Amino acid sequence: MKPVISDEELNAFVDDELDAADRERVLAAVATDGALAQRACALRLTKEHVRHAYAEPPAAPSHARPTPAWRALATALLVAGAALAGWTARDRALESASPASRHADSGHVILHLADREAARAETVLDDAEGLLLAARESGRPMVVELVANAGGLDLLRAGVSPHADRIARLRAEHANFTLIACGQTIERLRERGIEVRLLPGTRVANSALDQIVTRMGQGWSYVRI
Amino acid sequence: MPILSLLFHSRQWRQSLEAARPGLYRVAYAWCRDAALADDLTQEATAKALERGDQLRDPTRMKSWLFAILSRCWHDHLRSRHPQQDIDELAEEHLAGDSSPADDFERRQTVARVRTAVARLPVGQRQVLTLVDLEEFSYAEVGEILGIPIGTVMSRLCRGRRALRDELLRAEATTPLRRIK
Repeated sequence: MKPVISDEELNAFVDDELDAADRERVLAAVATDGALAQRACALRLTKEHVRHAYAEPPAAPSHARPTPAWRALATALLVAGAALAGWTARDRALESASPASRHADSGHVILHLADREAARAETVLDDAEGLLLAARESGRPMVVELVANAGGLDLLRAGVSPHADRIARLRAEHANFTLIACGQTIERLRERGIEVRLLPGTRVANSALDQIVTRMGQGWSYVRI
Repeated sequence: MPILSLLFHSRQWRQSLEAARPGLYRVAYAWCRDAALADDLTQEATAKALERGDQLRDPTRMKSWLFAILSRCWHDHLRSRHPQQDIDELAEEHLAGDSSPADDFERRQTVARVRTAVARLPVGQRQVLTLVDLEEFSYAEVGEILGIPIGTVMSRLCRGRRALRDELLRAEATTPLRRIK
């Protein structure tokens, strides 16, 4: 008598959901029963068809996002009590992302950007804004200093920075947000005949490295983006 | 809780969410076959995930958790349009075919045919089938995502695949084959 293999079982076989014993039983049955083998084949083919059909879904129509993810994030960070307990739970579950996160919370943070990559520039601003909002909401003192050098300097260059408006807004909303440009990077650009104008309120340090070393000596937390 | 460590975890969290987006969008599209709606659903699910990060107790289950949120977003959308009906039994009756340029026609035709067949499945079957086939979730995970028993997952998958197989076989039978003499 042929072993009875149900459709459910055959699907589970195709999806690799059977335990070893059941798989063996189905394999043996498939080997001796041509019709069953054909059914299994048809199911596998159907599965492949579905995968293939959505391998390249049409591109999402791009429309402006009125509420960017970081705003939802800032809100999420600020939800009191329960949310914080959740973050703490995840804190324990995940490993620390960087040694800097283990630093005591000095309330002084230096964010360092040395790269012109668009995603990083956005990240540094998201982080700055997230920190500033979280600090304001929780009533904690906080100073965030953004230090830019090399390709990162573009973020602070007037006429070049794609985020000039957002930076202006952040500065207007948060007196505790400061911008530092690397003097050496500016020097190098000028040597190459490139005119460098900085966004309003940007201060120039001798070099990004100097500034970072000084701040870390003062107990600031350092975050490289 | 030091504010700075919130920053690190939030960044990690944001990155995981970004990484999950293409998969969410693909499945959302398979469910609703509407790129704009799929994008909205993905966006909505991601925003909810950001807001409710605290509800995820076990980070290793993030993926199923995200798809469960996506599924609830879609069900809410369907319920708002079909308040009287059983969502799981809903199926698209009239669907516009994909317009396809002449080149690459055959491949596109197959793709369009499968997408149409998937869209004709009742919502419950469509969801189970796409979660298993596109995201390779286990039956148990799919049960968790959709909040249904594993037996229901199996029977819906079984019926869905059977309907799809029959549909594709029928389509093949009606498509004239070019034969080489």
